Amino acid sequence: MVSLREIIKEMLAQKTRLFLTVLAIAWSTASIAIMLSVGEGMRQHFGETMSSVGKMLLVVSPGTTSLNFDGKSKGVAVTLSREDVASIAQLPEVTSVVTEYNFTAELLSGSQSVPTYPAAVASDFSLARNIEVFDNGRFLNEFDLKDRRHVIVLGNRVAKSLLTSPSTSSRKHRKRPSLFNDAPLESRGAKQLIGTSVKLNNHVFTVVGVAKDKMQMSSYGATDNYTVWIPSTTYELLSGDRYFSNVIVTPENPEDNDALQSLIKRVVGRNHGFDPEDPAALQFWDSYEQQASTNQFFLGMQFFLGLIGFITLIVAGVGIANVMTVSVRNATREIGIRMAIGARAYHIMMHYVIEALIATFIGGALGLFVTTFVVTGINQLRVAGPFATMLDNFKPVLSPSVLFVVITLLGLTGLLAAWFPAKRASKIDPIKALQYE
Amino acid sequence: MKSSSLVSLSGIEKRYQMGDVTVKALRGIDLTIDAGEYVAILGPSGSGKSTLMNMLGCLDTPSEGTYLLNQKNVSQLNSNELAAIRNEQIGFIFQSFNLLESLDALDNVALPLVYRGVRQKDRKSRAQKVLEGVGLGDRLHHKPNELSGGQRQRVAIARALVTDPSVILADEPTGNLDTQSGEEVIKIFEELIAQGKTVIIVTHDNELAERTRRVLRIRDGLIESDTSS
Repeated sequence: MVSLREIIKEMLAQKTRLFLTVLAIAWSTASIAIMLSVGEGMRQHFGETMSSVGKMLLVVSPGTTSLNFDGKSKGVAVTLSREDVASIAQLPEVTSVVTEYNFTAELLSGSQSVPTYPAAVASDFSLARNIEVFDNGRFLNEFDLKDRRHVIVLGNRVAKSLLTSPSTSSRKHRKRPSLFNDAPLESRGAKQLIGTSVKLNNHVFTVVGVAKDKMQMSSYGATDNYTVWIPSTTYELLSGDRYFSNVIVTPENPEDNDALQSLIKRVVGRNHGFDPEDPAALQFWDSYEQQASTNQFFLGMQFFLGLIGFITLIVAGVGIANVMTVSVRNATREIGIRMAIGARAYHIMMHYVIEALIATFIGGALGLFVTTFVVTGINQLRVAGPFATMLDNFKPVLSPSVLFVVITLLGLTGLLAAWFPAKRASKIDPIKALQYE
Repeated sequence: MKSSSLVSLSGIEKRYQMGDVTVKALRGIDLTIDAGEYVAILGPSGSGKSTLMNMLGCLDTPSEGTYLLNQKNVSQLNSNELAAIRNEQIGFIFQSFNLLESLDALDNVALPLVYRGVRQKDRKSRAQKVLEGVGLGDRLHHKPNELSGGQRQRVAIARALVTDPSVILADEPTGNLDTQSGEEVIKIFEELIAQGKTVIIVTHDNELAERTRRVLRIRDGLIESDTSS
């Protein structure tokens, strides 16, 4: 009904106009696609770091009752014992449970004290909490637990502090600790530490493993890089402590964590005699909820970035509409000729819509090509220096969903921009158009 | 009024509203033209001959009266229906050729077939055949600005003929041409008549009108005289 070849020939006859239109579309496509890619990259990356704490966890910590219940007045400190853990583990909604004691202790290497957050855990803790140890060492194992060994696994930054201890360099040049000031400890550094001894509250422990660096966006206490782990049995023997700081629950269905929280309150409340409705008796930290809200935040940010890109695209759309309007006006007589030889309204309309869509398509393809180029370029940049780890977070990703959004918006813009000039063209009176100079 | 006529106008009036004033461009035209006739519509500017041509060519509809083209009443059709009639039944030839500058001769001639939905291959071969018929077989891929006036008008004639229309409607077809090119165009019309086609020429040129077989003189929106030779 319209000849595509003829339209293309006509467009090529107006090279400057075509070039400018295509350039405007390519520019705006690239800007919207790059911005969305940056947003997508951030969202995906932070999604990963969110789950680095463990896949989907519900962490239960003891609280203090805030309601009178069953003759007991409020203000009672709740404890989490082995029995409570057993009660929680029995729930069919729970896949697995691991426990953790957090305590404060001084970590000494030689005469140097290193700040740390010690935790006493069982061997299955690393699995639930995604703790990866360099291959030259290991995490705590069953024998450590059974024999109450004095062994310790170091968080990456703790290990790093031990290696760069100020006793080996001048105290004057001691760096102030900063969030970005150094690179993580690598496997080679870990190897130096395996088998050495450190003192935890004057008890000698042997280092058996060092954890890999971990970008951790969320935690319910200290981040893993600043933690050291010893066997829980050893800790119990040394401290006499029997009450857990955290019970880490892997739920069957993370979506149902709210219901699971009530269940846990009910079973633990039965053991201790507190009101299952008491909001403060137990504290919960829900990685699923955290992740969902972070995800929401990044979706929001991506939407915002996309909006900026879309505004650019609208500007391009106005440009297309402008070019089309001029194009239609210049072609008034020609439209009259076409009508005289039998073109119907929709032939004329299609002619200009297709012309605009071709320009949009070429510009869009060009823009996406530039985007791919830029995205690949950024991803291949090797940033050195203090911001290296931070910059890692901002690698753009041109995902299928980004492509889909860009192509849809682009098509809509092209169509809308062409629609009104094309509509006007199709309403031209052929008699007047044939007299048009 | 013979209902078997190719063109049959009865009581055709056309009024235009110009601000507060109503202008009557046609004031009651009765006219029949049979297939195979060679007709000139002759009149000075402002006589209403252009309006009559637009009416005959289905570019315009009458305010009053009935127009039967091939026994079909076309006086009340909407713009899309008129476009279809123009495409199938009318071949226009204009004083200023009205070719599309960006297209070569072949594409210009093939254009009416695009709107008829003919496939590209068929369009090309039909257009080429008609162009060869008007002596432009060696100018298929020349653009209008690479052709002389006479050649351009022959391309326009080829475009009018490519759909094999019932009526060929020429508006001052020799007005922009030198004598020799004009003569060539008239020769083509005579050949078409010999082949049994219907040609209507709209002109103010007495000499051109005299070459046809029937002259309709138009004045003030009415047919003043209708003489056949």
